[in-house]
Amino acid sequence: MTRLSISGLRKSFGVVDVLKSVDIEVEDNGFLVLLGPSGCGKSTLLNVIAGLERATAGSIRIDDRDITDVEAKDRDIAMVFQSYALYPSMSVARNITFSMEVRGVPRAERRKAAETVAASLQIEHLLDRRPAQLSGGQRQRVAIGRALVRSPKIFLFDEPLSNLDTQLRLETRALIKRLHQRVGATSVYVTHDQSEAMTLATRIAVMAKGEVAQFGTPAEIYARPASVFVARFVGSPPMNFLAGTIVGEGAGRTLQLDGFADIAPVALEATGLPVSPGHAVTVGIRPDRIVIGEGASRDGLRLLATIDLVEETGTDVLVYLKVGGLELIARQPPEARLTPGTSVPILLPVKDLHLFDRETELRIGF
Amino acid sequence: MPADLNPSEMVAARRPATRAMLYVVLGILGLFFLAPLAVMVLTSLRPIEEIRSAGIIGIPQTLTLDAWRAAWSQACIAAVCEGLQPYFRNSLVIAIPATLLSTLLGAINGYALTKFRFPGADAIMVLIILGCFLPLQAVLIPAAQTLSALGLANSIYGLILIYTVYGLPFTTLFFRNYYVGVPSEIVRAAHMDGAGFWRIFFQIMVPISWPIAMVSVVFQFTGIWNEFLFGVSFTTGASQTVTVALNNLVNTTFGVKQYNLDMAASLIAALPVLIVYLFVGRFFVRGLTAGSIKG
Repeated sequence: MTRLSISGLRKSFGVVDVLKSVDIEVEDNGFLVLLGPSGCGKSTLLNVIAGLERATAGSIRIDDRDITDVEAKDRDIAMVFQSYALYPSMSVARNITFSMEVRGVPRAERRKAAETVAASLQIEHLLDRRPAQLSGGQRQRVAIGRALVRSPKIFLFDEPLSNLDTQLRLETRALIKRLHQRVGATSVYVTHDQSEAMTLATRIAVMAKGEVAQFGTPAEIYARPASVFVARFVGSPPMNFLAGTIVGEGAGRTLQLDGFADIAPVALEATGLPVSPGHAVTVGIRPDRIVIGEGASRDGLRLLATIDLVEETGTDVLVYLKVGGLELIARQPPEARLTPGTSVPILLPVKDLHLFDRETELRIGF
Repeated sequence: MPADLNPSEMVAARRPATRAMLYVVLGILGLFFLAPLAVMVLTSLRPIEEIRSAGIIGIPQTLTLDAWRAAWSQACIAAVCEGLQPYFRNSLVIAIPATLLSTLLGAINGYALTKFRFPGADAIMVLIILGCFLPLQAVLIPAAQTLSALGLANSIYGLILIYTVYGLPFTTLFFRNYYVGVPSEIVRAAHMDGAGFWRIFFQIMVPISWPIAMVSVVFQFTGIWNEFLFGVSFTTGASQTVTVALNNLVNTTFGVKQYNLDMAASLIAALPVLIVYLFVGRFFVRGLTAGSIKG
């Protein structure tokens, strides 16, 4: 049973507030991913949880124990670093069991622990090598082994995959997920890669400028991004955005796209959104929700687009569309036959639209 | 063409004439710089009678080690006729501990200044670097006062202290610059593994420090061994260092100048530094160019 609670956490370096009041709760066996662009404070937050940086205000609790002022080594937390951070002069076995060496565990016991952990990571044959003799993927496994051997209450990962190439990144990502399923320890994982976040997390905290922009399950964050920032950051290719205005009253309210006066507005009656006439909004739609073609009788915004570019990725096709002065990206199944330069009708179904206040950039309603 | 050739090597490899020119120039320069050493060695091996009759520069007609023997254990320095030997020993007894101490302390300083950032660390670093630019002459009198206050005036321990302290700005700078290249995440990882300041230093930093430690040892040993000003100011008589004794030996003349003796004594005084360079010189170059150990 390990629950991590962070409340009102603040961290300042001089006059710079790197973290402004962060509140996060990770359940037992949870896998929290801190997701955000560089400079958003996610690594600082991880370091504060680790005890490598002191919190300026607020508290961190593991279960019911307040660890805000506890030394890093006494927190029972292990961390995997981006640059692996292996001890260059020590063998793999000694790297893995260094924490036990510090605690004065006898040599034979340490060796046994190293062997057990190495077996679970398939690096038994590397135990007597030096870090310099290992490949990047092997080094990261050793770094993970060093954390595993301690059976800590909480695992921290600081962008552990970003120094690996694509193939290894996928393998190691799966390895981390499998380990988490087996060991089941509460984990906090920092990344700027939304696909890592989506695949690993039970909870994601999207961070921006030292604050949590949205905290929820991967599905929630993908389906209901709380702001334009989150919507743009999660999902690849990113969500398309258009400017729109609310027209009409009550049940007759409609959404009119700015600059497309000749396009029929779409009725918002069914959506029950709390919007008022004249409200300037940002309209978002995910690339895979854009329908190319007539789209049968579904409700939505119907536009005429020119196909600018078609990119085949193998699993699907990315279509770059030009609509008026706007550019939209649509993701289509691979069997779609589309020719650049031709005009096609497209449909933005109303149930797939995301509306954000253009002023605050926050999501409108549910 | 291999990619690791530097531009001058590429030119040389392409044109044999250029390469030949290169060797001719290098050969001339080599002769030019080796000539004084050759004269010293040759003169030190000639008997004094031959030098007197044939001049100071010349090929030995008879080889003898008499001058070397005399310089080592018989020559008179002031009123003591024991050769350079006791003073050579003084210098060793001073240079070795001072070199090791200043290197160790420099490593600790460099480590603390880079891996355990504390308020004012940068200001302290600037002050330490300033120490590198301080001329010896400027600290001569305060150093003398300090030594006498500590009761270390005219003693070997006094010089060990002076050389250690004076070497610290340099060794600290060496290690600081080296440790800046060591990823701080290593220290953080060790910290999370439960290791403290000293354990991280001795078990993680020291084992990867040998390239820069070599630089520090060579630099310090050479500097301390060859140092004259502090030696002549703070030691007299039996506690003189070898450079001071050499100076006194050369200046102690009875009648005719004993060139062969002077040369042999100079070579003896220069020998330890030469040996150090011969054995660790290549580590010195490697250490100076050593970058990150990340790899």
